[in-house]
Amino acid sequence: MSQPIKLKKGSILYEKGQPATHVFVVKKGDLQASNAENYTFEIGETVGIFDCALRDKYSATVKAIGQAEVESVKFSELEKFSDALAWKVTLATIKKIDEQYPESWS
Amino acid sequence: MELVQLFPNETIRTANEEIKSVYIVKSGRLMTSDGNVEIKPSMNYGLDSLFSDPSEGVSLVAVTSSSVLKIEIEQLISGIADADDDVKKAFSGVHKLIKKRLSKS
Repeated sequence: MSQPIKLKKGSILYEKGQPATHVFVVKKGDLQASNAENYTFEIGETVGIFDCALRDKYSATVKAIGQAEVESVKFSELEKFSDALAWKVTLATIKKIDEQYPESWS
Repeated sequence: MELVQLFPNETIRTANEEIKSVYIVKSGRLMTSDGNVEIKPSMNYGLDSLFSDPSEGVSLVAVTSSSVLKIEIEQLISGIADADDDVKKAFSGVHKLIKKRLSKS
């Protein structure tokens, strides 16, 4: 089950190098990754998916720009659906994006 | 599921049409009619709408000769229909993120 997490301005959601075990769906506010300062994660977007799907550890530190709220979901919960076509298409897309855009992504 | 061959400038989806299928580009390139989103090989259009708003006011047009795999959303959803809402939101959120990243700013 998901867990809501409330973040104050500047609070760190996760740090670079931590084991990538959870993804986070933005419910309120915006977040930013340390390796993509011109990119903002907005409401409805899932943060951490690239690292969970492709790497063992988070590749960047992600923090709240202002007050924010996210819902954490264990990546293993998503992986339960690895046989589903929707997940296969999702994973293929993530891999392709990661190959095509050299800059790291959370 | 069907493989669709498109000529340059050919439309595969018209504006405001309910999204009933997801389009995966096998070769070539598609672009939304507003010029904001470009879909290259192995990327898809429509998965971000899987569990949310099923309509969008843009057409989907081939930029070059393209080969596109068209998969009905019902078929895609079948394996994940029993998932908890948070898992569905996470899936949808991945594709929102990807779509925004692919948008030209």
